[in-house]
Amino acid sequence: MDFRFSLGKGREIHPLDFLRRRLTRGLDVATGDEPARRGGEVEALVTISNARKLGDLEVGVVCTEYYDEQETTRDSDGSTSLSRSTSDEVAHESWSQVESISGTQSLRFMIPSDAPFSYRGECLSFKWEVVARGHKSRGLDAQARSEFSVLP
Amino acid sequence: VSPRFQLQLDRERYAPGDTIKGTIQILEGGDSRVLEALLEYCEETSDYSEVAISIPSGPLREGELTTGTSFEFELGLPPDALPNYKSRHGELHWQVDVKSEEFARDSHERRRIEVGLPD
Repeated sequence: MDFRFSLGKGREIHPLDFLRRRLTRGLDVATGDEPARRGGEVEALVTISNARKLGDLEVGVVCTEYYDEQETTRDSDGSTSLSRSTSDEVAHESWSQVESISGTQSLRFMIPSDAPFSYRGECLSFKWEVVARGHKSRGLDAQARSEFSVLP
Repeated sequence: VSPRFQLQLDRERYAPGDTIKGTIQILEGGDSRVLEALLEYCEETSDYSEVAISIPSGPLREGELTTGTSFEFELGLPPDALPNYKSRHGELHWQVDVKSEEFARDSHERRRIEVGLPD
């Protein structure tokens, strides 16, 4: 069973992600002011105000494809019903290790020219985010995310 | 009787801001209330499709369509038009949809066009 909080099309949040964000203290990500384009670069800014408990840290850019599908469910009486649901899959991701030290670090990531551009539709969407995640040997990973726009 | 028509376009590939010129040839006349052409940006997944943007030509003809007649139209792609894109689970694409509104089921002739950014 898949539990998700929905904040509108293409904005579903898994409960574990929600907990990770609550657990993330002292970690923030953003992108630079320049608009990102396919075939160009995006600047990721990682700010660590408290490096303790973050674990091994990596930063990446992730594009997620959200697409609507028809689901068939079988009821207890044997009848079937159709419903519309939104599935998601990572369309592109690129990661880089960063040092777990206090302060702001800048990294640049290439956006491939054949990658999706940002789009929020009715049955198909592409969402770009810069993500920082700290891998802990025990417990949930820390995770900070920030959406940005990729132009065609 | 539903009319039968054929769509001809001046090109297959366009860029944002371009004008699409087309001709509708009536192969078999029939009852129609309105004939028009629509430029549409469509979303498609394996199970669903939606029209995200629809730019109408306006009525090209109101009333019965006669065999052998033809109608010319022009549709403008927006200067900031998004390009076509095909992904693993879906597709975004432009199409021209010629629609004859009829008292029963409307008739359509749809043609995909390639819209890409200039090099």
